[in-house]
Amino acid sequence: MVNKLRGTEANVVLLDCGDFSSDWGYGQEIAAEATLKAMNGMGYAAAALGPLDLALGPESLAGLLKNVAFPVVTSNLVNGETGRPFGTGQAVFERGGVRIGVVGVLPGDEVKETAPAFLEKGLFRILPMEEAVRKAVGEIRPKADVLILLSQGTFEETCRLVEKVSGIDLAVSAGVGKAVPGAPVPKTPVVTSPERGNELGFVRFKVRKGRAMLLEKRMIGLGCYDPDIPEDETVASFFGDEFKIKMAKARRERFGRRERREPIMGKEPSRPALPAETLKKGEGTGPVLPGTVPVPGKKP
Amino acid sequence: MTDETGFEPEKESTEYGRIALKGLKRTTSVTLRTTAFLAAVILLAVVGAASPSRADGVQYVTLLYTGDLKGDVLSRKG
Repeated sequence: MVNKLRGTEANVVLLDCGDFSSDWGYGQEIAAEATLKAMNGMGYAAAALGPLDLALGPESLAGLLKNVAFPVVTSNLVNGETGRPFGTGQAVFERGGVRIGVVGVLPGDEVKETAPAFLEKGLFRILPMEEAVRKAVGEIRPKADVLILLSQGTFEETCRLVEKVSGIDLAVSAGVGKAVPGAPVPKTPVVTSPERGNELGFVRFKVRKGRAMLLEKRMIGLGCYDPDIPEDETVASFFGDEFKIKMAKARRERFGRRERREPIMGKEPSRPALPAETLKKGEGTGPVLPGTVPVPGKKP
Repeated sequence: MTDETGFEPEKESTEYGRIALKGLKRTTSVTLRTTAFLAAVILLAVVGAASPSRADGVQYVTLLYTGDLKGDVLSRKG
């Protein structure tokens, strides 16, 4: 889909609002590594971090980000001693002569809850979002024609941020909440980030003399199993058999062999082995439909 | 040969013809120049409209954004 849009639209910039790590309870590092490799292959221009990414821990996440080809913007997550941001802080890059600035922020309370390892012993500090955004915008606004804020704050928090800090052209909120009909609308447009990667946000700007004007905003559906969207072979290769085997192993280690029977990555559930004495002739063969797993001694 | 008024009819009609032809040529030339000028103006306007990204310093940027990515949907996006 992204490649298709790159062929039809001018100066395409691909951004991610964060939380690329899984919340499945197992194999987070394996999934994050594969996802980041795929994001490299897809040509992301920048990404923010979400609380789930930070839950990987400082060392593990820093190790994964070493192999990332795009800036990871975290303007308010800074080193406890040096004050330097974890990641790139904020970023400015160019597309077709247009300078694009990106700032990313995280809400402190969520980080405390999901990733306490970051804040232990003063390793890192979370600056108040408004203070960090104001500073970052002040630094990069003169260098950017279009300035985007990627916020992990709630929709309301993000609206308040863009009302207090001028100079932002668009804010994307990855936190909970969305626009409520009748509620006051900030001058700066605020959009919500797609959930579980099932949509692609689309925004078109007109830029003239260093000033950006929003022309269009919409969501493009990305139904995971929609046959109209062709699979990209390079990206799919990161989620092939090797990835599935690693994830299955991590799941077994986490939950034990028989703890969970949910399908992995959309596969059908495998049929559980039945004791030979319970099988009559012809039983135990053929496809198993979800919800029809035969129980010994019980009629289907 | 002259008629009763003392003029030569054939000579007079030829003179008028020459003047008319000269006028026609001038009109045609002016029309052609005007048409060429208008065609150039229209062509420039069409070319300008067809390439808006460069016209008058205006450029366009398309921002695509994702969030909460989970591995199994990524391959469909590439």
